[in-house]
Order: sequence, then structure tokens, then C-alpha cells
Amino acid sequence: MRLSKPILVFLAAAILLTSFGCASSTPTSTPTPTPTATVSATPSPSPTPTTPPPPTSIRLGVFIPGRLGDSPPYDALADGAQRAALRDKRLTVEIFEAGFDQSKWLEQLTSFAASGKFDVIYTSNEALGPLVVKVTQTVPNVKFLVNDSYVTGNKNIFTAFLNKYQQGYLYGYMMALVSTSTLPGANPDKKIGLIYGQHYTMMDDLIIPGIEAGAKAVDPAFELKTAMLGNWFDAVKAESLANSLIDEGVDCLGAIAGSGNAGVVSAAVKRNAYMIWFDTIGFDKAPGTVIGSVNSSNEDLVTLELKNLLDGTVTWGGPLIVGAEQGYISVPLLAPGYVNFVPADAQKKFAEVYEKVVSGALALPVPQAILDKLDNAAKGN
Amino acid sequence: MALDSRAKSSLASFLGIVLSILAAFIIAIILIFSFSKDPAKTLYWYFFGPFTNPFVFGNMLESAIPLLFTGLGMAVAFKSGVTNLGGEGQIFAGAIMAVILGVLLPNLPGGVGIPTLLLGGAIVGSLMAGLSGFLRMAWGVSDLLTTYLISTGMVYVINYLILGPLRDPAQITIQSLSIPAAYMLPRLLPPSYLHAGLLLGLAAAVFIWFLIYRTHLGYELRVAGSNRQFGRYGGIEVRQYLVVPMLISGALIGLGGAVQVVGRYGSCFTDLTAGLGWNGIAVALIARSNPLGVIPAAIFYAYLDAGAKSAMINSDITYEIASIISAVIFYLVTAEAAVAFIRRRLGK
Repeated sequence: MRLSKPILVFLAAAILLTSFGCASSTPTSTPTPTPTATVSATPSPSPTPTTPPPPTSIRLGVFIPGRLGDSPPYDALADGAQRAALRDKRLTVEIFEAGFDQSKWLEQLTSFAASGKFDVIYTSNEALGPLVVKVTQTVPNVKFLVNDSYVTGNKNIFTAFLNKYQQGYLYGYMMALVSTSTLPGANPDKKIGLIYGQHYTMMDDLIIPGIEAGAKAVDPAFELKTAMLGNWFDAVKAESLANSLIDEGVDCLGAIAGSGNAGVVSAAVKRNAYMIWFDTIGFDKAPGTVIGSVNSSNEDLVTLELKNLLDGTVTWGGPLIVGAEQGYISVPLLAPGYVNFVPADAQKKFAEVYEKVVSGALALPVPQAILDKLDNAAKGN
Repeated sequence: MALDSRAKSSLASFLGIVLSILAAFIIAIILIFSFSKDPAKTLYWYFFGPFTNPFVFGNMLESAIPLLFTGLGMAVAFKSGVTNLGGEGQIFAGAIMAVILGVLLPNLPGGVGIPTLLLGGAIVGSLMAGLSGFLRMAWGVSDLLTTYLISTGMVYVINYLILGPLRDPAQITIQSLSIPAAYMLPRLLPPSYLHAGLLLGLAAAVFIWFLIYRTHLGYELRVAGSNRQFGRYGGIEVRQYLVVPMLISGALIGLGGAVQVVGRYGSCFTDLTAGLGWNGIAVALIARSNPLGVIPAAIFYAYLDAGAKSAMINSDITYEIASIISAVIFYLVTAEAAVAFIRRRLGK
């Protein structure tokens, strides 16, 4: 027991220090406090897009909040940045994969920005908006391009936002047309289904409402049955969920579940159901089962943003929203996988609606309330 | 001067760890030279990156805090001859319990609220692990199996709570409601995330060391852990030491989860504590289950992780390569081969 006294003294001191710290601290901000001091970064020439001439060099860091090879937006971001660097020697690119742990993104993004290696950081994900706002407070000499996010009024941030409501509408419209068609396996239940990875704002507030609106535009009796996978990789569980939806009368399925999509394809093939692919062209996944695609051209968006960056014409602080009107959401109406399987009358109906969306005759804007929600969340309001 | 048997054993353990670390670092250097186009730069960032500025250094120490608690929890289990593979669920349960209490009791003074949340986390972790201990004591059910199964199920339940009833609709990230700001521990090294939970972790390590090596309970716990038959013949009620160490182990791990909430995040993300339970086993292995050894072991683990991140950000190695390097270092450090070799050389 010789050591007991010093140990007790140490324990008491530690507890007192902790308690004193607790009592004396008066956190005034959010419970996930933002570092208040500035993290030092090597001073570097920031692009000054509002002032010509264009920058002579730009060091671009690509921050992937996940892993490459599994997500079309992330892959487009990395590929597009690397291609842009090949085309224009003023641009140098480094890519960092941050993994899927959202709780670590802020720390990693701050370290990445504060490394002093980059003038601009390019990333994508709606959750990155709030984090980028925080990082600009600690690392003010780095600018950020953020896709799939919406932040206004910050001169260090440019956000670009694909109209997912519009994409969802076209997706739901096509699924409903397939469901009401004369294709073998289509039934009169007027039920379409969606397997998705997880809840997030884009999904809950834009994609799913868009799909429902699109399906109901075909027939108000349509019902969208959804099932959340809970992750972005479990194909076995995804197949089980898809089977459950088919059991409930769903005859056309959508899947936005990363690697889990493979399970939905498997179920659709085995059960003689149909699928429409989301974000990329997916006919090759299962020809005759995947019979339509509603694409988002993330590559084109990346190309546009990097061109503007190199030209010095990025409108920092002013978000960009794009959709089918500008060609960033598209449907391959002439693809054999679509033409050869979807009945002609369904193709005709879809082409009419698609034309209206592209021309702007059918306006499907992102609801302002959702934009405000994203903007306010980013600013911590 | 001849060394007695105990001193030889301690010396062998120490030299074994040093030898293992040296060997591991040499292999890491070889791997870096093999995979990096700029090995000098990668080596620099891998080994010195965590010390280059207060932000990174503070974050490294911060990431050691949960490992202190999970490492201690596992060390107690190892010392006591019970198996706790449920760290993942216990630490997550501790975290979500802290959130639930913080949300339900938002108006307590910080000095009351914080201990309440920490206590809640410790209790829920303790009950989870204790249940496995009870099942083994009562019916001989393998604690290896039950700790793992209960933990795995609990992770799904907690993720459901975060995605559903406890989700904060105002946040874009998938996270639970937040605890009041008054319940957050103070930062020790701004702008890094290092918080006062480090002091709690250090205090816990000293307390557990004292408990195990300087109390009657600790003596019986060690005896029961090393040889239950011997303990029984010595008059120790060894059956209770299937449950008591589990209660302590789970409490420490659950406390670690609560500290993560009140120290760092203020809320719970899905899979917030993923990996920390398993990493706690590794930390306890490095520490040879010595509670005080858990302190350097947790910092060492955090250092490896911070070095890998630093190298990924500042040089050209990928996540996969960094993971391989860390795994090789870890495998060698936890291996007993070097200790056994040195014991033979010392004549034990």
C-alpha cells in the first residue's frame, strides 16, 4: 500500500482538474465545437477569380468522403480532376480518400486543408457543406468547390447542386410507365419500389418525393414502396429487401444503394421484375431486366467547374443549380437496352415528358425550402 | 548482480516490446521504400507527421482517449481470465446512453450533467458485459460467444436509433440529437479536439492499476484469472469472478463511449465508435494487460494511426498501403515471439 497516497493524490488532482475545467468552461456554440484558432497553413497564392487574369497555377486537392470505385459522383470527381490536370499543366491534383466515417471528416478535411499543399479543395457530398464552412473559419486561405451541396454567401466556397428532384421525377415516371406497360411480369398493382442505402437530405427531401411525383404523374394511384438498406454495400440484404418488395406487388425497382445494387439486380432477374438504373447507364448489369437509365452527368459538371476555376471565372459564394435543361441530367432514349425492351407507347410517353423537362415547359425546381434547409444547416443556423 | 525470476520476466517483456517495435519499424521502412515514389517524404510524414503542429498532435492524443478506456476494459478482462469480445457494442451503447441522458436532462448544471452522462454510459456498458458474465456463471454459456453476439445486435439497434427516433432533423450529416453545450468537456489544446477526457482516461488507468495490484478484490481477480482451480482451493469464490470483471470491463468501455460524446462529438453518428472495441483488444495486448501499460500502448496506437493519416495527406501512399504498414507494425508489436526469445536468452 506504499503507493496509495500518491496515487490518490493524482486521482484527486485529475478529477479536480476535469471538474474545474467543466465548471469554468462556458461553451457558447454548438455541442460539436468548432476550433476557434486558425490552423496554420503555408501561405499560398489563392485564386482570385473575380479579378483577371486567370491564375498561373492551381494546386487542387480532391477530398473523397468515402472510397473511390463505389460512387459515381466521387469517381467522376477524381477522374475529372485528373483529366483536367492532363489537359492544363497549370493544374496539379492530389486525391485523398477519407473513408466512410462521417465523424472523422471534419478533422481530416481540416488537416487536408491546413497541409498548405492546396489552393483549392474539391469535394462532393451534401454533408460536406457544413464542414467546409467550419474549415474556412480555421483555414481561411484555401477555397472550396463542393458538389451536391448548397451554401450561399461564403466567398471561399462554391457549391454546385444537381437537381435531384427533377432526376427523381424522371426516374419515377419511367418506372411507372414500365409498371403499367404490357411487358411480361408487369402487374396491375401500380406499385414501384426503391432500395436505397441510407437516409440523407437529398434522398428524403428530393429523390423520393421526386420519384413519387413522377409516378403519380403517370397515374395518381401509384404507390412507391421503399426499403432502406442501412449501408451501401450489403448486396445479400439488398436482394432480400428487393424480394420483399416484389412480394408486395412491386414489378419495377429502383436502386440507389452503392454495391448493394447488385443484390437488387439479382432479385429482379430471378423474379422477372424490371429495373431502372440511377445516375449512370446500367443496361449491361442485366440486359432485359435493367431497361432504362436516368443519368446525372457528374463528369460534365466537374469539367465545367474546373474550366471555370482555371479561367478564373468561378462565382465564389454563389451556388449553381443545374439539371436536364443544361444537359446534366439525361436519359439515353436511343440506347438498345431501352429501345429493344420498353414498349413503343411507353417510350413515346416518356419522350414527351422528357422533352418538356429539357425545354423547361415542365418546371421541376428544387423546392426553395430544401435549399434553405441545406444553406441554414451549413451555416449552423 | 543476478536478476531474480520476476525481474527477468519484466526485463524480457520490456526488451521484447522494444525489439518488436524496432523490427516493425524496419519492415515499415522497407514497405514504404517499396510503395512510395518519394520514400523520404513518406517516412518523414509517417513517423514525424503527428508532431508537426499542435492541431495534429492534439488530435493524435484525442484519438488515444477512447483507446485508453477500451484498452483498460480489455486488460481487466484478460487479467481476470474472462473473454470480452463485445467492446464494439459496449462503447457504442455508452455513447448513445450519454446522448439519451443529455437530451432527456438538458437543464442540469455542467458539473452534475457530465458525471451523470458518464455514469450512464458506464452503467449500460457494465450491464451489457455483466449479462454475458452472468450467463456463463449461471449456465456455462461461452462469454466469448455472448459478448460478441450481444454487442453485434446492440450496434444495429443503436444505428437504428440514430437513423430514426434520435436523429437530428436539422443536421445534414446522419447524427443523433445533440447534448447541451454545457455538458461538453473543455478543450485542452485548441484548435485540436483534445479534451479533458484524457485526464479521466489517465486517472482510470491509475485507478484500475491500483484496483488490480493493490486491493484484495484485485488479488482475487488475478488469482481467479490465472488459475481458477487454485483460487477455489484457496477459498476464493471464483464463480463471482466470471461476473465482476465483466462488470468492470464493460463499465470502462461504456465510459469510453460516453467520454467520446461529452468530449468530442456532442452527439452520436452511425457507427461512431466502430473499431474502437477491437482496437482496445490490440491495445491491451501491447500493454500485456498491464493497466499502466495501456497508457503508452493507446498513445502508440493513436500515433500509428495519426502517422498513417499524415502520410496519406502529405505524401503519395494510399489508404490501403498505410493500413498494411500499420497492420505489420501492430502484428509484430503484439506478437510474443520477441519476448519469448529474450526470455530464453535471459535464461528463464
